[in-house]
Amino acid sequence: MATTPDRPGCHALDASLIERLHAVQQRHGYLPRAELQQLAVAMQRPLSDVMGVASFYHLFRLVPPPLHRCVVCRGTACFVRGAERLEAGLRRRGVAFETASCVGACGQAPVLVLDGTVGCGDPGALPEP
Amino acid sequence: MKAAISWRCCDATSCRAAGAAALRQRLVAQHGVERVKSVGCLRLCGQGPLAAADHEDGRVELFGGVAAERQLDPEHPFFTLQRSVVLERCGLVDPGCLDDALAQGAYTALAACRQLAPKAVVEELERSGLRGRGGAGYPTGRKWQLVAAQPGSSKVVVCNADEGDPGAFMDRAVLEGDPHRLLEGMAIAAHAVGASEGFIYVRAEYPLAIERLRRAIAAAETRGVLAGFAIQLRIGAGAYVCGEETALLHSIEGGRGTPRPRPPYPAVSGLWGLPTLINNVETFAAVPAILRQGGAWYGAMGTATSKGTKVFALSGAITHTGLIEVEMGTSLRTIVETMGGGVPANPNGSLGVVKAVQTGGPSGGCVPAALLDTPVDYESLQALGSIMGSGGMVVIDESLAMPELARYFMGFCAAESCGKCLPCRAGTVQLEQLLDRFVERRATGADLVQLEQLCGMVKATSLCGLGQSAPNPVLSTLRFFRAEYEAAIAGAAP
Repeated sequence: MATTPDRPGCHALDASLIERLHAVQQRHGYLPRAELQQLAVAMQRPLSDVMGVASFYHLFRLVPPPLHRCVVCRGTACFVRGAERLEAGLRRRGVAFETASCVGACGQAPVLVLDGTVGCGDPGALPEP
Repeated sequence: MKAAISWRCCDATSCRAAGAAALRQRLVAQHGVERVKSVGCLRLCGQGPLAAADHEDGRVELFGGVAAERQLDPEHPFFTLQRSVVLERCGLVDPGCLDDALAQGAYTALAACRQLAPKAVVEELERSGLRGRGGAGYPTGRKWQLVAAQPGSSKVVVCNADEGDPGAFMDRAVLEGDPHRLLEGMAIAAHAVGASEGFIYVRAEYPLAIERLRRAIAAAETRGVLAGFAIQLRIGAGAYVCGEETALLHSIEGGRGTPRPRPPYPAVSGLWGLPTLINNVETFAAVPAILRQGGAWYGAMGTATSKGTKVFALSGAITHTGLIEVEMGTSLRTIVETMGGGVPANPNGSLGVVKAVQTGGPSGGCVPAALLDTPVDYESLQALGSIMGSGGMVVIDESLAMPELARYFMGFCAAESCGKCLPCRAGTVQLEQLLDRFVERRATGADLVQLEQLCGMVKATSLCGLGQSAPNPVLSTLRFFRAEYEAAIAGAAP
């Protein structure tokens, strides 16, 4: 990416705490406490600031993620087409899942994201436990 | 049937979810890789994965399914009533290929603009009557003029690509299907207001859009088509409130995405205190066409106060789910019944009935079936207690009770409230608990009174748009479907 020399330092990518947190989460799958402390030192900001940002955003994880990740979309189209039944079905089967506000694949509603792959989560297609 | 000369395969998120990779593989095996091109959204997402076959005589065929087993009708009103301006290249151009975009006219409007004085560019935009497509509908030309009038040489152009409304995927289609269009629109804006730096704030839930934007920015900078205007990407981290402009700016600066009172407006003091122009994706994406064809051309479309075209994401209980771009002022009935094909038949064979159309997401409201002849423009929807919003349009059928829908949206707002101001932080939770009583049919008459009072309070006293508009789904369903709330009062006749 081209950088203009006169650009103030605060506009650079690595000056953004959120971008740095994304990088840490990319490496570890979550935000380990030690990394957050290091980040606070490196960016010369109090740890409370770093924690404040890390805990504000839904996508930052402060604990290690499970081996497989299942995300149920809670968008309106998914809601209208049975996302609540899908969630109930997963719960009945003891499947741990997260929720997302909308993944934007409303054409396939209700939608499920399994390890990053978006698919149609037809609640009727779930086998009973 | 003569063989098609080339195939266009939809490679957007929705079709990927339906198996676009398998369809593409099959087409490549049959016709050779040089005759299959990946493109953005082909509109009829519900029938995905989609592929279009272009014939020598100009005929276009459309197929759906992983084996292209369903032939679809390109002459259906769903396609013929569309008027593509923002989406003119989406579905035709390979979003990963700058050369293809250039061959289809990308960056010609930018090159032409550079020959014009910035003032002339702003005037052209004012002539077009374009209003902000993010939901609020502020006149775009006036906003540009405000930023252009600010002193100083350090200004910033920001694109709000934090499309958070559940049920909205218009911006995703532009980002995934024609990213160069957005870059061109932003570069034109930068020339018009005198900015040298740009940021695109994309939500992290759109990984494909992020990947396509990264490639597009790198290609455009390498080729020098942006002529020195530097665009950086900033990725969100899952906070709906960041769609609010002051919260978005805080988030780009790397902090918590909490809003602040306005004024000062970002046009005066935005990112790092610099004058900042913020528009959403669809607004920027309309700009190249306006500058190329003229503001008068754009202003000739639409209604007296809402000009041009608008992209809608049509979903929910509807036969044809997908993306449409229509002239402003098109009636909801045309969109839902003629284009969308209405509510699909029930499993028992009885006809599906439209109960309401929800527009504007958690900030909007429900237009009942009886008012489907309402033209879609900013003022008409507002008069009905809903809003245009960013363009999500979710069709509701008889199977869904309105208190349940209201609770769904209130739960969303309660979860997404940033917590900075009390009315929103506590009010949305209280409202959700009240709505629980209506859903579970154990409400009292006093609950109904309290529900309305609390809605008014949260609306009047919240700091930002999230809280101010959070009661809208409740108020609009109370207005048109009050009987459903009254029936939910304990002891009421079922």
